[in-house]
Formats: sequence, structure tokens, C-alpha cells
Amino acid sequence: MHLTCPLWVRRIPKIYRNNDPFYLRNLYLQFSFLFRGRSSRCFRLAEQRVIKAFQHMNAMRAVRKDRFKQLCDERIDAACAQHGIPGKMLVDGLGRMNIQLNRKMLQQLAIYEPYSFKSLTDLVKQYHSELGIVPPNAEPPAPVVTRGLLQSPIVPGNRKYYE
Amino acid sequence: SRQMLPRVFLSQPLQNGVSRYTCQLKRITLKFCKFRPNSLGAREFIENGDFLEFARANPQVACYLKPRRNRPPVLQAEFANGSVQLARIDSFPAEFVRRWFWLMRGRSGDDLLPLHENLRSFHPSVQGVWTPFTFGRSVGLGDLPDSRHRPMSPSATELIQQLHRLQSARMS
Repeated sequence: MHLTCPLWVRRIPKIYRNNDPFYLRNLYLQFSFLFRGRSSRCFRLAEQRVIKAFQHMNAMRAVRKDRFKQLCDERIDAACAQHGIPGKMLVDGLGRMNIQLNRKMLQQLAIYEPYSFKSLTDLVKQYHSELGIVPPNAEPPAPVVTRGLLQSPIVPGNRKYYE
Repeated sequence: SRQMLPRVFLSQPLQNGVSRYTCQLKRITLKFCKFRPNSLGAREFIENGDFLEFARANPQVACYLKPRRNRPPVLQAEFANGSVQLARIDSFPAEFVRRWFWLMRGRSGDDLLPLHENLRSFHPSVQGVWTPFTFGRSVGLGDLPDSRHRPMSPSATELIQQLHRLQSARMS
């Protein structure tokens, strides 16, 4: 192909930009070195597998969060069921009382600190019984002295009412 | 991917911190250019006295300055386990350079790998890990098969029975 002088100069690859195909293929093979079979050794197979692996990594980020949340929900549900309330009621009740424990911490408490978890369920039962809601299949909780504070918890905004 | 970068558990080299804490950072080198604008933050960090402040506050760390012409600025940290970590501080403000110094001071030199959990404890439970017997024997009671434990999908026997029913309905 006949090119003018300026275009010929531009077509010469730069010294520090490696145009050799080795560099791109090596990049893919670095990611595929633990794959099974020839996909870990041959570029033409590795390219496909590596691209698919990247797609999986991307897709799994959202899925991983969902699955962890599901696991936490399952564990909280199971732990609450032993004390007679549904897991949703616990999470909702704690939120209404301004007790800021997320699902991750609640499931850790349920596993490693079962008595603290029981006291949380007692709190929630007390809160609901003060409102007149009785959870089905629930044992009456240990007496929880609330002094009406569960219904109007001290949050930074309403601290002036308690001074 | 998790094949290349498997998740690890948080750990310290030689259980550092259990009885006595040793600073794992041994040498820190600030490489910068005296003229180029992307080294401005590094130069300001040195001129404001923050570098000397770091060196005096950490006598256990050997601090070096390495002016290099026409190169971007870099922070090189060497640790007790032999690993070397580089932080590119290209065009960073002086405050960011200062923060990188103090961050390297707190590191152990282990590779930055994805973690299973951000916490680790050999005694995670104070009250005792939950068992089915923690609150009396209130779970795991009952006889099997329990009518509440119905699987969502039909079993092989049930499938064959369903097929048989459909087939006999078609035949008749």
C-alpha cells in the first residue's frame, strides 16, 4: 500500500508500545493458568474461558450480596422461631425501637451469643405486647422493665424530652 | 476469579500482637523528582516537615529519600517478611502522601488478598456457641417423617406414580 511520508512514520510501531501478539496472549494466559486442560495453555481456548470467567465475576457481585442476605435471613428466622416470633418481626421491631443492628450482626449474635439474642427477642415481644400485638405461639417473655421507653426511644433528636 | 485469588482468613505473621506488637515496616523510601509537577505533593510533604515527623515518631523504620530525575513519585515500603509494596503517589496532595506513609506503618507486608471476613477471632463466642441444647431440648424433637418437612419437588417414586396415573388416564 502506498502511503505518504507522514502516514508511513505514524504506522511504525512505537518502541515502548509492544505490538507483538505475545503480550496480549500472555495477558490472557496469566488469568487462565489455573484452568483445567488446554484452556490453561493455549491462547485460542484460554481467551474464551477467561472472558467467560470475567463475566461470571461481574455477575456474581450482586448475586453474592443477595445470597449472603438470604443466608442471614434464614439464620435469623431459625433462631427467632425457637423463641416464638418470626424473623421479620425481630428486624422490624428492632428498627422501630431504634436499635441499630443489621442482619449480619443479628445472625452473628444468634450463633455466638444466643442469650443476648434471646434478650433481643424478649425486647421485641415486650414492644409488641405494649402495642397490643401478641405474636402467635410465643411464650410470655421474661419481664422487661421498659418505663415506656420502647415506644418513644431516646434518639438524638428527642433527647430534650428526657432531660 | 477465586481460582487465582483464593480468599484467605485475616492473619498476622507469627501472631504479631498477641503478646507483643512489633512494627512490621522496616524501610520506607520516598522516590520523587525535584522538578516535575506530579511530585509536588511529595516535595511539599518533605518541606512541611511531615517526613521528619514520621521518621522521629518511628525510630524502628529506616526512612530514605531518593530524588530521581524525570520519574513519577513512588513510595516503596519493605517489610519484615521480605515483601516490598509500592504506592504510586503521582500528583497526590501532601496530605495523601502523609496518609500513605502512616498506612504502610500499620501494614504487615502480607499480600492484599480477598478476605472471607474482615474480622477474625480465636474466641468468637463469650456466652457459648448455640447448640440445639442451649435453650433446653426445644428443637430437633419429633418423629420422622414429619408432615411439615415436605420437599418442594416430587421424589422419584412420586414422579413415576404421577406418570403411571397420566398414562392409565390416557389409555382408558
